[in-house]
Formats: sequence, structure tokens, C-alpha cells
Amino acid sequence: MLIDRVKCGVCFGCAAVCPFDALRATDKEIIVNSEKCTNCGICRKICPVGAITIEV
Amino acid sequence: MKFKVDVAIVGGGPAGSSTALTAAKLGLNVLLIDRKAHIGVPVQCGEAIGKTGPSIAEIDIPKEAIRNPIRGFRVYSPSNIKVDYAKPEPDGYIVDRRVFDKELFIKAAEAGAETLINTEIKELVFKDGKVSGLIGVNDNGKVEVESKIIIGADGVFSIIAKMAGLRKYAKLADLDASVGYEMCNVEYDDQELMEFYMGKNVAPRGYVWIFPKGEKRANVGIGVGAQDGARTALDYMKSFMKDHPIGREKLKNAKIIEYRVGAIPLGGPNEKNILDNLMLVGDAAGQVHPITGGGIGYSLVCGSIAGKVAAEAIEAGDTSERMLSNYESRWRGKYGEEFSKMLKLRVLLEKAEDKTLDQLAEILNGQNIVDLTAGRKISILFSAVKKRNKDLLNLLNGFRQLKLIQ
Ligand SMILES: Cc1cc2nc3c(=O)[nH]c(=O)nc-3n(C[C@H](O)[C@H](O)[C@H](O)COP(=O)(O)OP(=O)(O)OC[C@H]3O[C@@H](n4cnc5c(N)ncnc54)[C@H](O)[C@@H]3O)c2cc1C
Ligand code: SF4
Ligand code: SF4
Repeated sequence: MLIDRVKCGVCFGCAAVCPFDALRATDKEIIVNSEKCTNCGICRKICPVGAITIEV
Repeated sequence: MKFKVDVAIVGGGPAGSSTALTAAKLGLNVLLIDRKAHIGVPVQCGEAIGKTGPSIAEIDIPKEAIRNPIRGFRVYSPSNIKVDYAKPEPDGYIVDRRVFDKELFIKAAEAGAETLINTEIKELVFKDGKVSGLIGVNDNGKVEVESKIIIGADGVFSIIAKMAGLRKYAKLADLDASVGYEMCNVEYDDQELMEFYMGKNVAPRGYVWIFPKGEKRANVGIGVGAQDGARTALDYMKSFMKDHPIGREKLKNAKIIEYRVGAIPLGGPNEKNILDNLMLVGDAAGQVHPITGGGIGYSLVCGSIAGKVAAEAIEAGDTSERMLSNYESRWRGKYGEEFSKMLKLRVLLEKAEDKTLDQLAEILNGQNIVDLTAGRKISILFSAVKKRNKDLLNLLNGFRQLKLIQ
């Protein structure tokens, strides 16, 4: 999963719904743990601004 | 940096500051920690708050934060039939959250709490299987905190809740995606009424809001249920501004001053919010109204309860889960039933078709539903309904089962 840093408003929505504990956050950005991320795409559905793309 | 305190609080939002203020006033040695450099910024909120919460929590709404008094709200149904809920006198405010959060944080500090801003907590420390402290970082390097009680007031994505094992992850259905603006040059109907706009094409499983801040300024935003990815909350917000017959008129001359992105937790409270030496408060605990998404008032009240229970526990020399269960039972005693009712109501409303909501609005049109929720006029309503639509009758029966109407 990839986050477009320009679009992202750091709302923590993606981090809150990730079932694989792949996301952490500071108050300025979301940090992806690519080892844990399964590219399941769940986080993309909550993103209010369409900042998330899932790699295939 | 090393600290040894009675109560260490992670998060300086309304929940954390309320807890800190209460505990500090009761003489505890309190450390209030936030990773932000500027408390209250960015604003991710509709900024509406009732008078009841602060009054129960015995916390004054900071005067400097008040922008506009509010008497109630107006709902626009999917086909824009208006329904009002208006009290004769204001019973709440639209505030400026930047000022609100910061003033509350200052009050906690002035009451004696130590503060650490710009400090990110990374880990919850356990000793012999029990919570005993925190590890964080700031510009001075590592921060180590040893504390008799830890408070997780770290918001919607609470790492304290996560590391304590009290919350894993939120279900998609329990989170609303939100985009909002602060705007000027907004036309609203009545400066003392908050406006809500409903409809599957307006805001699926959510609503658009316009909250007047006075002088034609407003907090405008949208919350929608998780989408399959085709249209985002931002897309719906843009089309409200451009295409909605009422929205586009009201926002015709509006200018955007601030842009905000948010996630609103609507799934109700965690099953459990305590461990030995630990309590969760505010969004971290899920203390948010499952329909409106309002959480400031609950945060203040639950924070003040947590502060008091912390003082009792420290005084008794017992910070065990059994002792802290006083916090759970007191806040659930106040709000538990309301939250579970509202969770059920949310399901009913989400299932209702636009057509049904429009018919309901038609019947209510021109009446002030403050009267209806008080149980008056309701038989008239039912006789009106029987002639018309089964879905609506089901919805109203649902309302009745929840004792929302008599
Ligand atoms: C779009 C939107 C609109 C809303 N509208 C309203 C409304 O109109 N009225 C209303 O009453 N409520 C509203 N709410 C809900 C309300 O904003 C929250 O319920 C309220 O802010 C909860 O307060 P809190 O103190 O629990 O959390 P927050 O206010 O989120 O504070 C948490 C704090 O913890 C800090 N923190 C987090 N992690 C760490 C860490 N690891 N280390 C250090 N610090 C950390 C953060 O920096 C933050 O300052 C809205 C929410 C959203 C998203
Ligand atoms: S794609 Fe799935 S696993 Fe990866 S961050 Fe998003 S929700 Fe988590
Ligand atoms: S959900 Fe979207 S906007 Fe929110 S933090 Fe994640 S990527 Fe950023």
C-alpha cells in the first residue's frame, strides 16, 4: 500500500482499521510497515481523500 | 529525561486535559504528555459542544473559545424537507477547538500538572505483567516515565489501547470518513441552528453539516461510511458544494480558510477500558456518540471521572483493576445505556431508505421535534403513518422500542 503524502490529511483512519497492525503514526505522517502489510486494501475504503493506492 | 509520577497521561486533547486538570486539583503528581508542538492544531472536528458535559465535569468552557451559541439543529431530508429541533434558549456552542484544547491544557498545567509537549510516546512498559510506565522520544532524546497509573487519552488511533490489548482494530462499518472546512461568507438559515443534510447521494451512511460560527463564518464538513473506493468523502463534499440545490446556494460565495481530514469513531465504547494501573479515556475508549460523532462532552465528563478515581486509588494505595473498575462503572452508569441505544438507532437510520426519511420529514414538517421527543403529539404521528408506508412504520416502531418516542 502506498500513501500519497500530498493528499493525506493524517486522520489516522487507515491506521485504525488495518487488521494487520501494519500502520503506525506520528502527528505528521502515517508510517507503513511493509513487512506486515498484506495489501488487503481495507484501509483504502476509509480514506476520506483517496490518498491510498494498493500495489498489485 | 526520567519522570516518576502518580499519573501519566498520554494525549492532551479534551479527555487527557480533563483527566489531568481533575487529578492535579486533587493534589496528584500528574504528567500530561502530547506529541503535538501546538496543542489544538490541526482541528479535526465540527466544534459543537453542549452545555451539559462541561457542567457535569465541572469544567468551564473557555470563554475565549466560544464562537456562537446554539439552540438546536435543522435537518434537511433527502429531498430537502426541513425538520427542526430547537430549544427556546441556547444549550450549546460552536467553539474554536484550537483555543478550546489549548486553554484546557493550560488550565491543567496551572492546576499543577507537569507538561511535556512535542513528545511522542512509543511504548507502554510492563513490569511483572503489569503496566508500569511509558517510553517516548522528544528533541532531548529518550523519555522514560514511571507511573502508578497510566491514562490512555491518545485519540481515535490509540496506541495505548492497542498495546494494552484493549482494542485491536476498528471495523470499517464503525468509522466514518470525514472532510471539513472552516469557511467565511456562508449563508445559513438561522445562526443559532446547526444544519444537517441527509441522503444516499449527499452523504451515504452519514451527513453533511454546516455549523454556524457567527459573522457568516462556519464549520462545514461531511462524514460518510466507508466506501468501496469509487467515491471518497472529499468527492461527496465537493458535489455538495457544487450540485446540491441548497448547499450550492449557501456556499456560493464561501471561501475556504482551513481544510481538515478526519476519522470519526462511531462503534461505541471498547468492551473494557481498564487494566491494573491503566485507564482509557475519550476517543481511545470509544466514548463517542454513535450517531452524531460528538465526543468532546463525553471526554470531559469521563476524564473528570478518571481523574477522581485516580485520586481515590492513589489515596488508598491500590491501583489494581478492581479499584479502577470504579471508573468503568461510573462512566458506564452515566452513558452506557445511551451509547447502546444510539448504536441501535444508527443501524435503523442507516437501513432506512431516502423515501422513508422523506416521508418522516413530511409528517414532522413545520413541527418542532423538541415536543415530539418529549412524547407529545405522537399518537397523531402514528395515525398519520398507518395510512402510508410500512417501512416508515417499522422505523417508528424501532424508535418506540428504543424509547425515543412513547
Ligand atoms: C471530523 C470530526 C468531527 C467531529 N465533530 C465533533 C463535534 O462537532 N462535537 C464533538 O463533541 N465532537 C466531535 N468530534 C469528536 C471529537 O473531536 C473527539 O471525540 C475528541 O477530540 C476526543 O478527544 P480526545 O481527547 O479523546 O482525543 P483527541 O482530541 O484526538 O486528542 C488525542 C491527543 O493525543 C495525542 N497523541 C496521540 N498519540 C500520541 C502519542 N503516541 N504520544 C503522545 N501524544 C499522542 C494527540 O496528539 C492528541 O492531541 C469530531 C471528530 C471528527 C474526526
Ligand atoms: S493494505 Fe491492508 S494490511 Fe496493508 S496497511 Fe492497508 S489495511 Fe493494513
Ligand atoms: S486514511 Fe487517508 S488521509 Fe487518513 S491518514 Fe490514512 S492515508 Fe492519510
